[in-house]
Amino acid sequence: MNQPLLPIVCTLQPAAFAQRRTDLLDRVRAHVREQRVLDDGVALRFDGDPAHREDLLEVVRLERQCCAFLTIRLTVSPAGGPLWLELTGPPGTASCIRDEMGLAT
Amino acid sequence: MPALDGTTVQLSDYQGKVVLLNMWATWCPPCVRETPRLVRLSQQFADRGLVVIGVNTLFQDERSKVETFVRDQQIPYPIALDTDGAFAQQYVGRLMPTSYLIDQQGRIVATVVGEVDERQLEEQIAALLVP
Repeated sequence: MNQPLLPIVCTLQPAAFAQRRTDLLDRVRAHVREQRVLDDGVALRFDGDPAHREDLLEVVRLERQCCAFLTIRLTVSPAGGPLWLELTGPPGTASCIRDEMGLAT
Repeated sequence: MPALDGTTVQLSDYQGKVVLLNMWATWCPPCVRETPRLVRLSQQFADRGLVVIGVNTLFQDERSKVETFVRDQQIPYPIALDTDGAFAQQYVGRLMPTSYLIDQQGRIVATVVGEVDERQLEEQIAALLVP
């Protein structure tokens, strides 16, 4: 079923939220092994390290709070294989995510 | 509201002017992306009386980051600081960026939730500034 497209907006959160999110995204950004540009977003690959998995689960949790326009998919491959984080949404989402994550275009 | 430059900003000071009020934060990607458009509009219409006011949600941002961003982006318009969230609560609820175009009579004539469309906003501002 198609979901309605929400505008790309951020949701205000309590004061400590922004810093927690910034710290987390800094940590996650350092471990991106590959990025793929999708039609409506980006896919990021990480090594199957349990610590990365926990960080990515936290990303999912925080992004659900601040970025309601995102569709988020986290794929955990079997046998310690790679982790894939897909962030998709309305037009403009890919460049928005790349800007936010400081990823090369 | 206190402003970043140490002064204060009050909407009532701009009665009779067309005002573009933009709520933003440094951690908000769409806010960051639309800033150059707002800077261009403020410069384009400055001589015709447009007042652009940025309202930073400082209660969940960092002053040093705000100062750096304003300097790096060469933002020429005043930045008011929402230090306790009262303004955000009153105007935008919880979604950013949100921009309001306010006419000379103080009426909100356009509200944009999400990034502004520069061309559309340019037309709306020009229409309000017709002599």
